[in-house]
Amino acid sequence: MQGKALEWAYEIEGRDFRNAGKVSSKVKEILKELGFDPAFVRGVAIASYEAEMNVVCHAEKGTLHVAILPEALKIVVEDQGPGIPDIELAMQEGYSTAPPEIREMGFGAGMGLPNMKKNTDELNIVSTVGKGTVVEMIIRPPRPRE
Amino acid sequence: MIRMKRSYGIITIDEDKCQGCVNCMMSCRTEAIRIFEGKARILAARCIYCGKCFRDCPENAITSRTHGLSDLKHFKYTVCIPSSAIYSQFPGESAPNRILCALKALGFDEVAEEAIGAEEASIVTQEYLKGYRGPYPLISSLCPAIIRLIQIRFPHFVDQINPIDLPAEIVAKDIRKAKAKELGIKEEELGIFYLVPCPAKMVAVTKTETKERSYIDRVISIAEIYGQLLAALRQVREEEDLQKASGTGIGWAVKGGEIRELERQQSLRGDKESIVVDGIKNAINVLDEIENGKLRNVEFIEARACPEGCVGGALTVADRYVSRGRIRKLMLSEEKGSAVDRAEVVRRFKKGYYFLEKGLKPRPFAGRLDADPPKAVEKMKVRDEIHSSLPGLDCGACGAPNCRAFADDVVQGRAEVTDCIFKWREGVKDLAREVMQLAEKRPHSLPKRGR
Repeated sequence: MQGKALEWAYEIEGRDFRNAGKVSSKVKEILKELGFDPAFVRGVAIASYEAEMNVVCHAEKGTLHVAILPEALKIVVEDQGPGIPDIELAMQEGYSTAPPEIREMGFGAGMGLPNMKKNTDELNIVSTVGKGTVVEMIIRPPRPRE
Repeated sequence: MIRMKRSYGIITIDEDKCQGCVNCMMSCRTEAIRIFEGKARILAARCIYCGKCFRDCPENAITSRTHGLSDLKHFKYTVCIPSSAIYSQFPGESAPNRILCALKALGFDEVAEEAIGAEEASIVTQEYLKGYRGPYPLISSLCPAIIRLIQIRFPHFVDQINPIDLPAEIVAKDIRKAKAKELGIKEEELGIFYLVPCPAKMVAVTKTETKERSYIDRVISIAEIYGQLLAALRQVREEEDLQKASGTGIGWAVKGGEIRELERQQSLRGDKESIVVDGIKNAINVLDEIENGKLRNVEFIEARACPEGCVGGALTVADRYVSRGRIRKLMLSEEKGSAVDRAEVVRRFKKGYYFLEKGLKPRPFAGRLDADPPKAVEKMKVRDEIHSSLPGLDCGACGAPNCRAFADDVVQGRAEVTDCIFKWREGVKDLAREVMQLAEKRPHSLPKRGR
């Protein structure tokens, strides 16, 4: 990948649980078609799924941007939502502000941000309470073996 | 007339029968079929040998090559291992033992049930689960079409396939080890035949990836010998006692049969879930959700390519729903106890007897656009541009199953944009406009019109 950037953007609807996960599925399919390492694709799939679910669970709506950069993959998810008051606290495993009805569906276990962290090389979160959150994730594929 | 048949591995398409309709192409879940010059063609790298197209072809043009009973003469001693699906294929009082007697009457020296191998495989899986600490979920290794689907589309999960051999191979391995010696014949004089319900099992044996050579010598489909078996069934007078398998092993022929025994033996953990899924599309959905992390906490997946399980195999004859009912009856009857010695199975398991001899390999690149990443990116750009210019009807008239697959084919040089009937029509329209414009022109030597 020498300098040829490819970018896509997908809309995510808040509270649309029926379609939740479709955006990260698409990202995954693209990476598979481009021939990325399977373990790398899996990591990206999990990280982007968590980011997508955060929008679905908490926000009004959001957008997921994917960019294939020369050395890495960048995913930016921005949403219009309540924002995260204490990012450090939200990074702790098990911490969740998801309402009970969402937890009953098996979501909101407080693993979202920790899972993103685990599966990315860089994770930057900028959030404004009452306005929304921007999550930026950088994931570097392993060096080709050839 | 020379019959025109084209082969793709063991699958053959009779091109005299094929009308080039799009039924098989549209129903193929891995998008492995294209229509080219009026005939269906298979992209072998994408095919998982499920046989769905056999059923969906209205002309019965697609089938698979199979060995036959004529091969019996190549061997001194022959053993038939019938898939448990065979017990579901005949109506009325055709109890398993009677079916086995009829099968033997076709010329085999011995019959050995696949279901015995399934009983062993279940015990082995129970033992394996005791020591298994992930990654989860563990995926059943019974359905070779699902295994190939995973190798191609979910390569990351290859390591999570239960590393235990096919029940039929387990049975064949037992026979091969002991029989030739016992009879005092050479190994190659012993012929082990496997009676299969689907092309995927055929390929899993004839092109095995998990050992140097399969323990099975020949594969015959249930459909291939159904007529002869039906006739033999009517002629069975005295029954020899041949059935050794219990409902536990026979149950593997239907979806849920494998997990049912794991549940009965309390081998699955209470704090995790298990999934039974049939049909390729459904299996893709489940695996996709697991890959995304949407489905979590799943311990074991029993996935079968065919609806209702092996009784729904493409090379079976009876209706799959009736068949499921027949197997369920056998499964639930406790008449027959298991003939398998659990302690012996556990002992052999600990020695590694049941494991695949060679691990399964991922085949992640069946779907990629190019081996060279920059080229793949370039192709994807062009592909997406072409895709967005297409009508999005997924009509199949171009010979590809949908507009996205067609755009792929164009980028890969397998098709031209004008193969799309709408693009072609646009082209004709543009051309016609140009012709009209040209027709309006007059040489400057002539006076202008209207003067």
